[in-house]
Amino acid sequence: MVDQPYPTDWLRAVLDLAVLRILDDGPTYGYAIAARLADEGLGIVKGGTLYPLLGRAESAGEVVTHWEAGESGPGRKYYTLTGSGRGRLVAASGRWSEFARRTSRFLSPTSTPCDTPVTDRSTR
Amino acid sequence: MSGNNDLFPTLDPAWAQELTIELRIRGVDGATIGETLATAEAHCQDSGESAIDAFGPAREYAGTLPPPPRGTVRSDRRLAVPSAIGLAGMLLSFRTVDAWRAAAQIPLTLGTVLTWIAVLGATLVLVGHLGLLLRGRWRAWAIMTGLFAAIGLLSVTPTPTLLHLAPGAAAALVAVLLGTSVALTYRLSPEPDMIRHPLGNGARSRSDVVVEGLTPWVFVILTVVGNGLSQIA
Repeated sequence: MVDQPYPTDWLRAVLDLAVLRILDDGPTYGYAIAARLADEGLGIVKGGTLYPLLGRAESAGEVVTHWEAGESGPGRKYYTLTGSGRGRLVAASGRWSEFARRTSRFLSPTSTPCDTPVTDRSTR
Repeated sequence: MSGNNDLFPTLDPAWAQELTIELRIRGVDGATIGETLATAEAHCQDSGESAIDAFGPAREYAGTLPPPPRGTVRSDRRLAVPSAIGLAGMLLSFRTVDAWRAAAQIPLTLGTVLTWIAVLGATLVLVGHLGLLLRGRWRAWAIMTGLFAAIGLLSVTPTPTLLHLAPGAAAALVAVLLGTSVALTYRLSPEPDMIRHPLGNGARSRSDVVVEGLTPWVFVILTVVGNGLSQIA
């Protein structure tokens, strides 16, 4: 991944969810997913990062695939979100929103200690 | 055999070849390899990038792809046994033809028997650890070099004669060894696993069919050709 507007680690953490989110809009192919991620301002995702992720999602049963011949361009492999993938998207995106909200509140200059989750500090 | 250049004409041939070898070493089947190459080709055409820019080095990219499911990993290791038997038959045939022409018996020495064992070991290492050899792992190369050195040493070291074989008996043994090699290869060979484009018609080319048909007979062919050339020389 290069040309990132944000640190690579940030995108890596949420990339699989972002891909599932794109597929929630309908079946599409690899390059279109990469282009959509770039359009959304998340950065440029290389094929070497995207396709292994899609392969793992396919192995996990979160997406199914089929090939379509291109009218003038190349044939393309289309990815379709399954019920299992949609379920994970819903569950994980809810947790991500909570994490992002909590992180934003914590990092805010006006944050107060009571905003942070209670943890057992004796184990640290 | 249909090459990657024919199936994926716009993909960098060197990159595609390296990726194919790496995936084969990992036991990925031909259909999945074809799909991986077709996906890469389509992405490169859409993005205008080269394969190396989009996917990085082929060997590293292969390592990031999900491994094949358990039970689907292809292995041709079991073909090592018929290959070794065929090789032994071919080697014995050279001495048999010479003995036949000289009307002499063939001394079967301890060195000959040990040489055949070393050949069998070398074949097993070659077939079973082809991936390590192709990746240039020094231990695999050291073992192979040691086995070939042992074969060379055994072939020039005087050893006791165990028995004398009459040319007719030796010829019969050659026939049995080569016949066993052909029969076992037919029996143990998996279904052809050609790389094909996911949108292709799946038909195999005539050259593919010819290569597959000749493969079990390779040691018979080499025996005939080798003896023919030695007689000409």
